[in-house]
Amino acid sequence: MNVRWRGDRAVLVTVNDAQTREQLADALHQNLVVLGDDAELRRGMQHVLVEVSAPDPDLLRRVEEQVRLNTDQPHAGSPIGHTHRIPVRYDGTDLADTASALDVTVPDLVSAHSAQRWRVAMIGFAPGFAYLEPFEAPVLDWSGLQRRTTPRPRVPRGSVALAAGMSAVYPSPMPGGWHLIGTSDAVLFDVERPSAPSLLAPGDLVIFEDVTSR
Amino acid sequence: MTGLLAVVEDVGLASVQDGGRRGLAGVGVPRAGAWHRSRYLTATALVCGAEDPSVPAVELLGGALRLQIHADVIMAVVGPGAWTVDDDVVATGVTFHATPGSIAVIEHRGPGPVYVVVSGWQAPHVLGSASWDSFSMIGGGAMCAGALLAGSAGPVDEALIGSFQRRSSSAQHALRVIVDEELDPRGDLLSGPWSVVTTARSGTRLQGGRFASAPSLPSMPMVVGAIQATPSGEAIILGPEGGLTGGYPVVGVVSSADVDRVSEAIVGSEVRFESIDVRASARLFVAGETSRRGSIVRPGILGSRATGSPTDGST
Repeated sequence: MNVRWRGDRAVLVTVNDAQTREQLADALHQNLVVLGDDAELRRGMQHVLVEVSAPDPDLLRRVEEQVRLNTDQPHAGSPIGHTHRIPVRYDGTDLADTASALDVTVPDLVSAHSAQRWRVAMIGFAPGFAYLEPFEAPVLDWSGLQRRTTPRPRVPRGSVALAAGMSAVYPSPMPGGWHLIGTSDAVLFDVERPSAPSLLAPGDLVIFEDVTSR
Repeated sequence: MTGLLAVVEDVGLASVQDGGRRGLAGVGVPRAGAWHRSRYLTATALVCGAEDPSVPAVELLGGALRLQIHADVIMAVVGPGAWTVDDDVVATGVTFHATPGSIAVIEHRGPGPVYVVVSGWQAPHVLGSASWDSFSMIGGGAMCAGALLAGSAGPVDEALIGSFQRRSSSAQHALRVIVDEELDPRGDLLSGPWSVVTTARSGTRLQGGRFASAPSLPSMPMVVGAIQATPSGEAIILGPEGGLTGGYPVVGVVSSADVDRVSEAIVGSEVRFESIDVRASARLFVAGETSRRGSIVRPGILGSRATGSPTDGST
């Protein structure tokens, strides 16, 4: 684990595995109020970042202290957030190419993708864009699939996609370099839900339900 | 809610901004908000009597706006611009009483944003802020001809009219940066010089220097003012609409005391960086905040200072 100050108002923690990231983020989240007004917690794939509201070295030291406190202690299993079932029609433009890139048939890809439980590792890039990592051992070697060599200028909203060992659902139309394997009607991000505009939160689990033939 | 002002003509780049969105970075929503926080807060203090990050402002990044005034309001324009009301020149950094029927023309000169604050204006909120975020497409959109600034025109606070911001010239210095020596071992960022290629609220791109290497890293959380080193040798300083995550190495972060100045970068101009530690950076920031808050002079205060005593004269 590596702890460093990121500028004058943030502390960035690099962790070795997803389990540590989840445990640390959860513990810090519970203690966020002691880190000053408006402290914000954010996750990366292998990172946890705490941003405080004003530049203050004493406050940053207190964040570091909290990080140490919460990593020195042995902890129970990783906390699990909500579980979401997201219906998917496996009709994406890249479905066949993705299956062959992963060296499986289309039906095998569909059943593997919907059998895998995915966990929200982080949200970023765009509002509500959740990076989903395999929660248990990967059902397929998802990491064998790189991003497309040329990103698309516009990926439609609701596209279900795979790249670099992760899955995602595009919350709004945007440029993207992931492989599109399906579509979903789930509303991933909605400003009309002010208390929880993003359907998914970091730590949540996602199960994709195959509704292609319905 | 009534229409206080109407935008008659826009030739430029204007949007509504306030202190920004808070608490949603974890679900991918940037703070957005005023790019030059000091100018914005000064404009709110001139019109509201105290700094208020919940008050909406027009952020003008280029061009000009022509506004039709429909109500008795007090307004202030802060930043490198010029403005007239019914063809009379009005000073920037001064609280002005505008009356129904008049026409205000506000011109951007630069460098950096110009802010317009109008008393009583209530801009619609999306996710807790009136700020327009053109990257995430959240908020009311760019400000165009036909837009109506609505709110409730209360009684004009006479005591605020004629307030002004005390100003002094300041020598330009390098942008102070908290450098990450592990990711920039040769000090490439400081050696520069860099020249500005593009500027935008999402980020300011610089070219000219070089980096030893810029490995691609797993996506990690980013902060405003972070300086990313790209594989092609560019440096990108993230702005208020910058991506919240990124995989380029962050070789440094602009000091909170200097981050407003990133918005003042002009395409083609030179930018230099110098190193500062966190403690000195925090001290500079606090000094800047104190000096800005003390820079507003109220006509009432002027009256009481006429005797030469800052207090009630009992000393």
